[in-house]
Amino acid sequence: MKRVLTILAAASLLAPAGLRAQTNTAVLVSSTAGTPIPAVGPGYVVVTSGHVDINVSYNPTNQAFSLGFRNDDNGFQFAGTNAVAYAVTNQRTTVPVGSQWSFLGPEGGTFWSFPNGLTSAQNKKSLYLGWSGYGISNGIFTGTGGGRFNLRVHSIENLTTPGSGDFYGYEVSGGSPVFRLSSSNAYANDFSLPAGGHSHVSLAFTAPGMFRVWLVASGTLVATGETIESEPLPLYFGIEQWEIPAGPSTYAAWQPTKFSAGQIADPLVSGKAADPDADSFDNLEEYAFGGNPLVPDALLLQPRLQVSGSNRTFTLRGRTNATDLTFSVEATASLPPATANWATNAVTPAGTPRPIVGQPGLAEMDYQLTGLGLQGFGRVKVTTP
Amino acid sequence: MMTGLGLVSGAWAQTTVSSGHVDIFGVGYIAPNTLELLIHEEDTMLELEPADTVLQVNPGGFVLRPAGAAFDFLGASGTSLWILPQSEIESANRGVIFAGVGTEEIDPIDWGAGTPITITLLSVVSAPVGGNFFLWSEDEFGNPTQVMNSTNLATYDSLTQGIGLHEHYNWGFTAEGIYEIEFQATGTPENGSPLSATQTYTFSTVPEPSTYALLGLTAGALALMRWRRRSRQS
Repeated sequence: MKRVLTILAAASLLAPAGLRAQTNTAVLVSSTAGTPIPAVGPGYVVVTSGHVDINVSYNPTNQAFSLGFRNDDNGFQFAGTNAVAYAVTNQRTTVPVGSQWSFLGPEGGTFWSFPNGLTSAQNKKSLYLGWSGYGISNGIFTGTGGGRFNLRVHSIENLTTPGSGDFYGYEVSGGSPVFRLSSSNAYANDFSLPAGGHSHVSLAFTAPGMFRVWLVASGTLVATGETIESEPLPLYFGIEQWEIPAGPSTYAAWQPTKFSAGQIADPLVSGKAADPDADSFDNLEEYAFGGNPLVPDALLLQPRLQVSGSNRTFTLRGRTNATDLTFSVEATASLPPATANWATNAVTPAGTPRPIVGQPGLAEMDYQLTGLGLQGFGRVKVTTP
Repeated sequence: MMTGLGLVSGAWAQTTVSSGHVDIFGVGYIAPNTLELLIHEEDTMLELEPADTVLQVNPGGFVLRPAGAAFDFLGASGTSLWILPQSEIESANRGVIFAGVGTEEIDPIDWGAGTPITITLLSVVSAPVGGNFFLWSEDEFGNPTQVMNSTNLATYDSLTQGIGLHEHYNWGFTAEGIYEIEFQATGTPENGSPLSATQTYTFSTVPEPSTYALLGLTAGALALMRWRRRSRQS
């Protein structure tokens, strides 16, 4: 059965608006002398640093966590969706002897290490990559000191080689690993960190490729005792790979990036017709237009119609890597059903899609609406099997 | 973080620091010609003078030397150790200071393309019998690399760290008691002269738990005796 949805944009309702600001994706690399710097392509820029933290912030107003990479050299922060922690070839590390290291692969095999110590990191030309909660004020969450929060791995994707590789965060005690983060269910996956503080653990990836690691942050409010848990938040780790590829996507493949296993099992939450964030965009529309199904984001997803002189430009934010979606833009000069004449022959694609930085597989696409007279309306129809 | 005030020698108050995230070597720079070597409490952002501070290794820091030949530099197998671990989580679990080395207080704009900071162990001013001091880092498999070794200062007496960085090591002491150790930070800012700051640090290792409990019992008995004496006097 086909499912068709339509999103309407009317010229008379739109305020003039420019395109969203686009910035290059930062490829974060160690500033240690001798580090092999990748030759990145358009849309990317190399940023070298002596110390980068994966920094967690919490906004009490909307009870929302966010993740980013913080360059501790200057305090500048990159959104988690707009930066890549890059691992160089020097970070290839041999899995040592001992069954306690078997999680890294077979003895003598290769994994990629971000060591927890500055000295070891510099020896490997590795980004010195820590974890911090500088964006969380003291006294918000329960726990020792100024309070604590937790991180866990929700899911992992290898965008270069799907299904390949795992991610671990661990410390060593008595010669054996103590797991803090793990993309495998076989190991502990609950990393407690101090609000306002920072910490270092060793990080390991067991395969090369561009990884998108989805993390969930949580904390228990001092004020109410309520536990706040974030939606899955993405971070990119490029293991000898600086570019974020936009692989093919389907609704079924998109679901685990947005929903927990429990939510996926409940069609009232994760089904195509469900709208768990009640923003009037159901899950299929969230998927098609690159939204977050658990956060109201209707303004982001709505198409725009801009009028400039005789030009009427209909701009659509949509998924370009979907194998299960077809987009069709239609226009009409009159809206009432009795006189509306929705058709595609007044619509002409304009230019090429503009990739949305940090969100592979999504782009903005322009269409010119022509021959409509003084008034015009546009809509997009999305068809899925 | 636990900080307390105690009377030492009846002359001046000293601050005792025994837990929390503390940069034992907190290096700062006041342009154009002052280098500072202080103790920086990360949790409170307080700067403490080493001369007025006791850095205490709580009983939770007591361990036996790790197994393996790589740790032979710490002494014979079974050697007692009081440690401040490199790992924040292990430090918290043991209830001891998470000891760091920070050069973040140096503004890179002021320092420019100067040299990294070197911190050198100049001398062990005093230590208990059998008391040695070690500073070492461990890699992602727990393998150690020596940095400072009071029994072999000719080879392991210093660490070097770039500006604006933060690092953690394992700190180890081999006997109960008080250690006074003199350290010196050195570095040269861009277009400046070589600078240095020298401080004597005081570390206190608290007895291992079983001995500690015994001493506690003794202290309790003494308190009881004092109370009884006062009772008789009243």
